[in-house]
Amino acid sequence: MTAPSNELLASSLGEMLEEAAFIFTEPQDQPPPFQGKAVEARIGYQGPHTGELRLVADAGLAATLAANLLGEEEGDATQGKAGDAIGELLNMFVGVWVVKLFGEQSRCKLGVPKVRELPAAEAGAPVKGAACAAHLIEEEGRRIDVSLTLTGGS
Amino acid sequence: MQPALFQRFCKLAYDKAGIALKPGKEALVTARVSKRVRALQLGDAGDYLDYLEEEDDGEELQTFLDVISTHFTNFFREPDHLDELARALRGWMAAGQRRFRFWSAASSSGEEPWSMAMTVASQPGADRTDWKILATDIATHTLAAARKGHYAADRVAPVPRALAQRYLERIPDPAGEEPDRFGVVDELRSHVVFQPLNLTQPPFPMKGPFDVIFCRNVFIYFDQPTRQRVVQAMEGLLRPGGIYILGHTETLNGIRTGLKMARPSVFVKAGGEGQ
Amino acid sequence: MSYAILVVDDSSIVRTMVKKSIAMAGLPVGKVFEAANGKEALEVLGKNWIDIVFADLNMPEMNGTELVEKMSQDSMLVSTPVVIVSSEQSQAKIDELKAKGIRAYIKKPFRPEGFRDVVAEVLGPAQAKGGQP
Repeated sequence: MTAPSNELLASSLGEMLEEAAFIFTEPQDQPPPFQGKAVEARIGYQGPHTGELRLVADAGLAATLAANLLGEEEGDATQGKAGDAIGELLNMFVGVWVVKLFGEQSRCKLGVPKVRELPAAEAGAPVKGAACAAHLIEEEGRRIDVSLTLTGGS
Repeated sequence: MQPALFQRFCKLAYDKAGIALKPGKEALVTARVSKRVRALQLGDAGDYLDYLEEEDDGEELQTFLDVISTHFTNFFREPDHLDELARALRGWMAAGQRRFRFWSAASSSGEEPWSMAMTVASQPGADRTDWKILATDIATHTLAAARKGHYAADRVAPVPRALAQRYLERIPDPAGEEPDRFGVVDELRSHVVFQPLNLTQPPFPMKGPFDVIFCRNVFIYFDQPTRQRVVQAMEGLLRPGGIYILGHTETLNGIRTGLKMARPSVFVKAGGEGQ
Repeated sequence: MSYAILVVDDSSIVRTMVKKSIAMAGLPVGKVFEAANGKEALEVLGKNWIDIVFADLNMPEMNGTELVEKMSQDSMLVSTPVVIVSSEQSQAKIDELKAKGIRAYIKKPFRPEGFRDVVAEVLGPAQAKGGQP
């Protein structure tokens, strides 16, 4: 068992963005504010502890993520897929996350991602009761946050 | 420029970016610094050095590093390296590999990564693979120009005609006053990612692994300990069987590494066939 | 000869990524069907001949495990190969699904080579052509 931490969240998400979408980010303690709209995804898991992971990304970064996952230029083919992309990123992330915490042999029940759009002001607010959190910034200064809330067990 | 002042510029370049300015570069530094002195409406090179040392955001430092390290670069420079890339790619595709990651480590104004992209995209079957190029450079201004990918006609002249027809488009000056420029087509853009990176400060944030790393004509700016660190970090990001390419005049002499020379300036990481 | 495939995932992005990866694997693909969950997949399977199914696990309505169970109880579908493509990395889960009859398991995020290897394993090596991408 590995304990969840801010650093583990940041490094795991950074690796996932590079591996799945060839997006390069760096953790930043004092991130710039969200610009315009943001996209949020949440997913729950049940294992040795029960938790919920949350991603919030600049809508523009989410659109780039969609394009990179699909291997397309941003445009008609990727229009309207930003939410789906963040949901799927979180879906992939939770699978890797529970193995990092609990190992390959443990059994976890994973949820289905819930996605919604958020105004910038709400997107940047810290998550109440979060056990750990991290902010990542990509080259163009666009931001993606990840946080973990423990909802039961330990 | 006074030797003492030149020494201070040298120290700054080395401390901040690992760039070792050699004796004899006084004229180059003087010329380039004087342009910045004028641009910022400062008195002399000494004022400029004070400015660099006192600024908070590091923005002018970026510009300074940019102007003193700008090296001559060209489309399809040392084209046998691009042939090497094409040959390796065809071999790996034949062996069944379908995902490729390449790195242009000192991409400067973009000629190298765009030349790599044209080379890869034009290989038969490459359109049915997942290929990407990471292009990095320390100078963010240069990186922005590289990403934009617009060049004057004489800059793109070395691009082979067939590739130029396919991957470059003419961009007329909106005012009709300047000569037409040439831009890389959108088809290539989704394959190339530009990222600022200081090569002298490993470990690098990327996880890799890369199939091919181009690290050409950048070692001239680094001293031997820096070269050692850079090569070691890059070797770690190369997959077994991956290829490491230096400039024609560069070697790994005196550097501890597991990379094996396949021919001058081309090295292979042991241990892998295909992906 | 070309194969009819069914891709089951609640994310349209993933369905497209799976289709692209299969094409990169060199599998001669004929008709491609899509479904957003197990229930829709069973409807497609009831009306069409499908040679191979690529299915996610965690989906609303009916998940991948239930889909595999339903297919194994249906004499018409019991021999249709199912490949699970999921973000679940747990070996315990994979072993359990293999016991239920799935033919292969691909972890997300996946690489196109993963599909090539699986296609070769499930449909025979001649179907995954290395030399002709």
